[in-house]
Amino acid sequence: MSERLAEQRLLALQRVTDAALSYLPLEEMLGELLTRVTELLNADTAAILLIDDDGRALVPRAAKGLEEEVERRVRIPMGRGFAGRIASLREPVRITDVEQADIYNPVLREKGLKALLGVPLMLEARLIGVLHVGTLTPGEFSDDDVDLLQRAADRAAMAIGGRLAERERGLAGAFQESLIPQLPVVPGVLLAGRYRPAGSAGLGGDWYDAFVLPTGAIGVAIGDVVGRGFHAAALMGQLRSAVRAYALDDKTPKQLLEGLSTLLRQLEPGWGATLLYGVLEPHLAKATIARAAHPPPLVLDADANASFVELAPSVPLAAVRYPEYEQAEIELAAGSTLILYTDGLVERSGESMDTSLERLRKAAAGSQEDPQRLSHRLLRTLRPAGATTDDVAILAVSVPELPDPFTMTLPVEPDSIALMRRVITRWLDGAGASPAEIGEITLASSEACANAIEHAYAPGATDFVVEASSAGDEVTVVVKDTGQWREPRGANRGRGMTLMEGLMDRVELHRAPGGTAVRLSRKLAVEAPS
Amino acid sequence: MNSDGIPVVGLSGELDIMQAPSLLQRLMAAADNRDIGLVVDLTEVTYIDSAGVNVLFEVAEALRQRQLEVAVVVPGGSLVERVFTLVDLGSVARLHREVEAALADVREVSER
Repeated sequence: MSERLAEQRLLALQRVTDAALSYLPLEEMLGELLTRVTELLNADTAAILLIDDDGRALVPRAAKGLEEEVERRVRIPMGRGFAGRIASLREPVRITDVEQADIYNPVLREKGLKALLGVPLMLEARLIGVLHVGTLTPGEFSDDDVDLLQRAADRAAMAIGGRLAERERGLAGAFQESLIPQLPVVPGVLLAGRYRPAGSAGLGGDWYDAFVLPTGAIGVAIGDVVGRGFHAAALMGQLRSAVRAYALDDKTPKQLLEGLSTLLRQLEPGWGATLLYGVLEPHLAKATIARAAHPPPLVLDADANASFVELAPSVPLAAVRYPEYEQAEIELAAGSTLILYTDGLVERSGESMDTSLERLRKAAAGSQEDPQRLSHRLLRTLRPAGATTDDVAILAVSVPELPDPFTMTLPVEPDSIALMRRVITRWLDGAGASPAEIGEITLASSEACANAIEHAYAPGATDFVVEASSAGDEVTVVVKDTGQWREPRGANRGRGMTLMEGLMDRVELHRAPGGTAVRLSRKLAVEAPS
Repeated sequence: MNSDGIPVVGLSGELDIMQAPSLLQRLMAAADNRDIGLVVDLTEVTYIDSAGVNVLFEVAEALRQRQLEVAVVVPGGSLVERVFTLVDLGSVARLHREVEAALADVREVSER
């Protein structure tokens, strides 16, 4: 190489790391960087591929002369083809005959490239991506070229690395935040969830969700998408939506898992996830649960004895083409708590799963805490803060005994009626009513609720209140709304009132400017336990 | 199921305010004018509220206008039977405890 040429190249190299570049937004900076690299090496194309944050593939982030590569978002698996080989060897790779070489990315061949040179982008011994250049004329990159490109790459890596980490940490936080669900407020049930990201920065794939089903039952889900990073987190968001869609469509836990498995295979081939879904019916003291390779839930019974729910072994979602899952029906009596969690809560390396589970069982047994305190304590004691490599999700649901008197506030929506019915049924059962009495009083109460919902045309009327109480052998249900009582109109409208009067001993209507209260009373045939 | 011009619609679960709109559609679509009546079998129904009852009234009245007789099968001693007694569903539909008896009744009425 002539003196002059060497001098020119050195100057060009300095331009690659020009301080001015660092003020540009990331995409622009990468573009400018590539322009200068092509000038430096007299190349026709240049591209930067960065490791996807799941660490499994290279994704083109900027290109010159190969813009299509970026637009097509060709994901190049580690170890495969030209760029994949550079990444797994962490060494420069030269190709003199693209036609004959092992190339994964079709764009390189389509463009008619003849020779290629690529080097790893290393940041403090960590691989962050690959930088490569190509020529449309036959030839060979020299050892000097390799040396220059590697030096340019080292400096570029520093500029990229800091920016990426900063930007993605910010995004990751906001994204993860958006995926933490708002748990519903359900009368007669206490719910609490906790999520803790892995100690090492980055997005995880653990999640949980809980929601009220149209039948008044409660759907609960917890899952773990294999892998991490944005991709895993985004997939988790999709799975969560799909769980709700299937659940609202009245799928059983078994059907839901089978549907999701097929969906996941189609949505993201090659990805897997564990998941547990349950339909809780605390009013019937039962729950139906199915799992796809997820660790078993822990149940604390009314005496705080802890035991794991026995569930058949199963495969993760999308692991096989047509999986069959089994569901189990378990008892969920008043006073008990169901604890769902991801393996991050219990798993420790070099330890058997049985040992890990036993530690959780012991930690929970005997607890008198509500779900908030319990989930907080379990997380704190089983996963002390620090550098954990796995994220953790935990969801605890308890079914407390219903007090007497008992009050619940419900949104003014027809959906509330089914939910109210479930809770009042359970309360009446506790008050000693017979099955026939429970059916009749519950029906009368739901007619009063239907009225309350119909009356709620006043602005700001968003809730109504149901109070149940007993005195001696008489039970009373009061339904209060903030709307104006309207006389039933037409023959149809009167039937609700007919039912209330026919099924109860007394029906009293209290009208006030601030709202209406319907008071329903009935003596029970059997004396209620005091 | 359709027995000699009398479709039998079997329902189950809870016929409440949420189910009422789809229930109305389903029952209205069950019989056409070539049929002589409709049997609604509520043996497996555990709960019905005034919205569900209103649907039965509406269907029975509409079919009567078209000269179709409606019979409702409901188990004795159930909450559903109690509800029908209170609202007098018997004023628009024939109440029975067995599907066979309901079919025979509808057949007999239409032959009169």
